[in-house]
Amino acid sequence: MNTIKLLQSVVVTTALLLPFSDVSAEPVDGRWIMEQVDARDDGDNMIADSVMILIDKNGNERLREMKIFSKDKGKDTLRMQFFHAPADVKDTGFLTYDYYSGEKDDDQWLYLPDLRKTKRIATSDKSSAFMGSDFSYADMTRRVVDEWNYKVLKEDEVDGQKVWLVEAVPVTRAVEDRYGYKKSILFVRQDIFIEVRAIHVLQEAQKVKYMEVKQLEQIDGIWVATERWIKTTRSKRTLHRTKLIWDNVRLNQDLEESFFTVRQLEKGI
Amino acid sequence: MDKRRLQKKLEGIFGALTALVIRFRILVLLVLLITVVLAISQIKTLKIDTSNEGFLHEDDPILTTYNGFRDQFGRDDMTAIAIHSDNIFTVEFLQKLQKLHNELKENVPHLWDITSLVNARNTRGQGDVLHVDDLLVDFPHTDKELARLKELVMNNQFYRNMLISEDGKMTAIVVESAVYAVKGESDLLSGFDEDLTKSEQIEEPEYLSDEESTKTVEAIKEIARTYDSEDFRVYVAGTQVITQTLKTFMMRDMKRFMKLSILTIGICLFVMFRRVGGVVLPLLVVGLTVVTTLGIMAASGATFKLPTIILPSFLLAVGVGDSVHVLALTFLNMRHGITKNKAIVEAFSHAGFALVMTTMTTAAGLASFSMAKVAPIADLGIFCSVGVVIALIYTFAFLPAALSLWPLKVRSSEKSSDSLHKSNRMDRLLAWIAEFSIRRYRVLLILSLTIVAVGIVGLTRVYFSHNVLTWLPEDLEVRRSTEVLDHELRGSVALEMIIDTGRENGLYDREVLLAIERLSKEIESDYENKELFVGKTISLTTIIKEIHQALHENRPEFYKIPENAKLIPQELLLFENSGSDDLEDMVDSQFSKVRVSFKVPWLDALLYVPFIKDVEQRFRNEFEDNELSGDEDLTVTVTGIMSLFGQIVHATIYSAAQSYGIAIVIVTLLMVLLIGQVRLGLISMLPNLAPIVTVLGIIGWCSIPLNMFTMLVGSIAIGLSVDNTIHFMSNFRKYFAETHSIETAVNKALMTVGRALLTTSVVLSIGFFIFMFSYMNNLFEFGLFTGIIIILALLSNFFMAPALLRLAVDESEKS
Repeated sequence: MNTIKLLQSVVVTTALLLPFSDVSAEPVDGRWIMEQVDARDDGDNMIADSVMILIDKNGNERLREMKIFSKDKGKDTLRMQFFHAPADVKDTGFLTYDYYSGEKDDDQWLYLPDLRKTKRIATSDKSSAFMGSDFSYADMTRRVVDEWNYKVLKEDEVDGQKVWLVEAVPVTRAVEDRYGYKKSILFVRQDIFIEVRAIHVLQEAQKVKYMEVKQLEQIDGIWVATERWIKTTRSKRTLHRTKLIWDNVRLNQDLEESFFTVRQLEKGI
Repeated sequence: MDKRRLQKKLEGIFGALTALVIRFRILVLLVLLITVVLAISQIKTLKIDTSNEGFLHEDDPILTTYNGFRDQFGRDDMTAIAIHSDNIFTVEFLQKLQKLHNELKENVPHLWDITSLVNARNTRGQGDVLHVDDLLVDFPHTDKELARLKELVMNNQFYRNMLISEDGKMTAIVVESAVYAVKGESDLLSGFDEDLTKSEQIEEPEYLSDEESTKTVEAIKEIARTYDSEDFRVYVAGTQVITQTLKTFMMRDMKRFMKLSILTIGICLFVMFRRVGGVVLPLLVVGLTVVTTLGIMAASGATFKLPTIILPSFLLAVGVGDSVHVLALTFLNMRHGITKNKAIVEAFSHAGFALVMTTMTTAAGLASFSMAKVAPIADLGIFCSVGVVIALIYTFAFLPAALSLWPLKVRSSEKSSDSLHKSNRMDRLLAWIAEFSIRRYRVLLILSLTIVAVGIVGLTRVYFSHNVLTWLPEDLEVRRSTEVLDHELRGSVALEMIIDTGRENGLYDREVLLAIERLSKEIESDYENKELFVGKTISLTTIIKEIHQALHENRPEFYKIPENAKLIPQELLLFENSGSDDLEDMVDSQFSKVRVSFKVPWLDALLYVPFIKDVEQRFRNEFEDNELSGDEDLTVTVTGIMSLFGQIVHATIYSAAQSYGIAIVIVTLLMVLLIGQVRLGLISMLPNLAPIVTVLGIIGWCSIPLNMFTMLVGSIAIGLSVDNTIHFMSNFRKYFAETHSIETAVNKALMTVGRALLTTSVVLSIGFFIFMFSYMNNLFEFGLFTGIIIILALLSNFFMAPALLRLAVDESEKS
């Protein structure tokens, strides 16, 4: 072990240990934490079976099953989804290009089997609901680190694991409008830099969303949140909840960029 | 002579009781003080509610259904900020509209949703692209863009009569307030729950209170006012605005009534007694009565609602009667040289029983409301009867204690010839009345009969009404705004039909959707050009047609339910994914229940009743009886603000009939019991029923509809006017037993109680006439009619009662 590496590990360890010491010296930098989160390998070329359970305020459940294909293209994400269930929307397909840069609107195409037509849906913001769930399109993709100001609120434990609570506030009003969030509180696990919980305060009056990772699996050495629950509340009342479960997650599959096309969408799988 | 012994015994009890109060007067006053302080501490918690929901009992099935509807779909009583302008499609106007929209969105408390041209759902197809956006997301700047926007807006079925008028000169911002109240600032971090599937342990949700919705309306009005200008005429209307206006008027009226009541009662008391004590003590009795009653009301959790406004001034006027009788007797006794405390004891022993009886009849008349289906009328009945009983208790407890401490002197002037002369004049009048009514009894009775007969014919013409808007002054802004809105945007009240298919995805059924579509069109066209028209129908079909058209390059021929039924779920999934949450307002997440909203103008609720029935019947015939697509679980429910109005009318009519029945039966029974003779008891009811029939007859002849307030007049008046009869009859019987002469007995009875009857009736009628100073039309009518009945009842007790006795009583019989 050379000196530089040793020094590095000392710095990292110190940074990790600092908050635990009673002497409140340099606190951990929120931005630094989020950079680690951003830098983490979250897997690529994924194929998974997705089950989405939508639960309304009366506790009624609706089940949606989809096959998901996703691929990173630089910092952008390409995603193809086909419905399996319920039967009356079977084979309906969505193709999405999520652009990392906030400047560019996402692209989304939709194929309705009974219309036998593909339509491009012009969406203007990332804040709209993802497949009728409590997740927004933004929740499903990576945030641009520079678009938020961070502050470490405190440390806590979630399921016995140490986490930082990082508050993220949009840098500009435009960012706030795009995400629809006035602020977020992200619970980042200190050991593996994964957000295991998140609280999003919506622009819309008194609405707050709570996200929890319920199942974390290591697949091919990469941590993947295979079960996430999210609920939207307003003045403490739960309006709607979603459970998103990924089964048969396979990473590093042989997915070409040419797969994520309208042609493929219409062809189905 | 059992009766006389009983009377002596009663007099003894009342006398002893009064002597006891005087002996422990300090203690009694102290206890009363504590009671009143306790009551005052409770009053602060008294809540005010002028909402439409407040008219119905919490367990009224119509209200339960309505609350269930609101839980699922949100509110239907929106507030509309309508803006008139000749230049809606200009950059300046739209910018101003956007500014107003945003200001409302950010500053109005308890706001749930806000919709205007700024953020209206704009679903449209453009080549292969499907747009689901807010209308003004790309703000137009050039003339070409503005023209395109105008075309788009004017051709949009969904916007028409909701966000834009047919002539394109009025637009609206529609504000929906929250269904539930916000309970404090929640701790953000405490929002996670360990298990999402388990139902949370949250408290029972509380509906947004009347007070909170007042804050919403006030903020809206405040902001809207600053935008009002020449080419930006702002009209704020909607059920919540009307409710809030009523509340403002109620509070203003109440303060007015209290002041006027105290002033006029004070003057009457001074004219009668010409003593400070004669004014202050009775006013204290009734003042403390009002405070205590309101305290009890607050403690019992009852809310102050529109009809309750009558309560304070009613108690002031009615409660003071007890003190008047006692004081008159006390002063009379003192003039006869009896010492003060003894005079007080004798006054109570003489009048005590009559006071208890008159209080009971009054309370019985009022208690006849206690079972009313109109919740605040029931409250009014309960707390007014509680109030008159409290007034009696205070008269028995407070008055002797305070009176014995109050320095009272027999003034020399009272023995002067002047006052004797005055009282002689009064006596002469009473003597003349006694003589006239006995001599001319046939003429009097025929005259009375004629008047009553005319009244009975008028009674058949009486009809009911419930239109809170007409309670407000005609030139009031909210009345004008509602009219403008009804005219330009074709309606301001909604009837909601809920079709529950009873199964998941039941609404993917094309036949069900087509049936909704067909019925909506039928109802719209059948009510076209009528006073009650349907300005707009909105349902799930609106969204489906819209998206179907957008998926077909906006071609108008595709604005319909898709031919291919399989497309319905797919198109709805697409809509759900487009980011719009508008589906939540129309259908449940299971697609089993759907809402169909009919927008109609603000009218008398009486007109709504047949409409509601008709619409409900049509839906039932279509869905429930036809067993459409073999679906037996399919149910149809009618609800919405309009159904509340319908129920209020129904409840008003039912309650009126019920309370009149109960009041008449109970009061008659009490009279019979008191007089101890069925025939005489029944006869003595006639002078009291006649004025009520007469006034209701006048109401009928004048085509004035009975409303929630004027329906009360009969039951309130009967309990009050029989008090006169009780005092008169108990004296008549005493003197008739002594003299066996009707004429002498009537004469003596009138000489004894005539003046007190006159005073209490004048005070009472003034107490009711005060309501004529109300800013609200319904209270004006209520005060006028009740006041007239009280005056007529005094006249009928002076003239008709003796005449009836002359006809019915055989002088030879022993009473």
